[in-house]
Amino acid sequence: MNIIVISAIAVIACVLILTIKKWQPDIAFVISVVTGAIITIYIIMSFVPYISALSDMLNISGVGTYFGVLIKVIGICAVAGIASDVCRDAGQTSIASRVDIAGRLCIIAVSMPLFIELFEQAAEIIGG
Amino acid sequence: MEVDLIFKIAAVGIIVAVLNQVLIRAGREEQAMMTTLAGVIVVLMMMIDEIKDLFDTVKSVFNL
Repeated sequence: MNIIVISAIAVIACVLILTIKKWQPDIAFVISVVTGAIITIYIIMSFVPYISALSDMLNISGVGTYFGVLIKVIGICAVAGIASDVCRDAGQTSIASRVDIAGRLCIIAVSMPLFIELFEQAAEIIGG
Repeated sequence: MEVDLIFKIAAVGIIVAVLNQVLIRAGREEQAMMTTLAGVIVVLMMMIDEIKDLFDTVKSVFNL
């Protein structure tokens, strides 16, 4: 996770995008998408060891049963965020908000077992 | 870390822009439009490979 590499790539890509935007705005947009993809891949690949460390920690503390759901939700957030930001860059705010809504619904779908578990335990406590 | 991919796409963009201007000055507007279209398609093919890598990485890391 070399922050210098990431910021250097970002600055260079922005300069390239501005130069090309005058003649070919669509190719400039593609450069911004590709740069975003490259930086995101770099971030995720350098984040992998932390995920395994986090899962070990949670398993030790006994809370690890729903760690898979947490990881899935983070992944859905990442993908939905990338797609909606790209759509906003292209000026399609309506498509971007559709992607946001889809992301939220996916998160709710993935975390449904958690809700069920929560309500069962609540009912137990209240029901007595 | 395919940083050179960014420069490749920028190079294609600049070449297409220059070709476009040259062809327009030479009076061949249709060929200029064709060249621009071809350039955009080449760039899109490069982008699709990169997007596929991104989503494969996310799918494998977050086991979606």
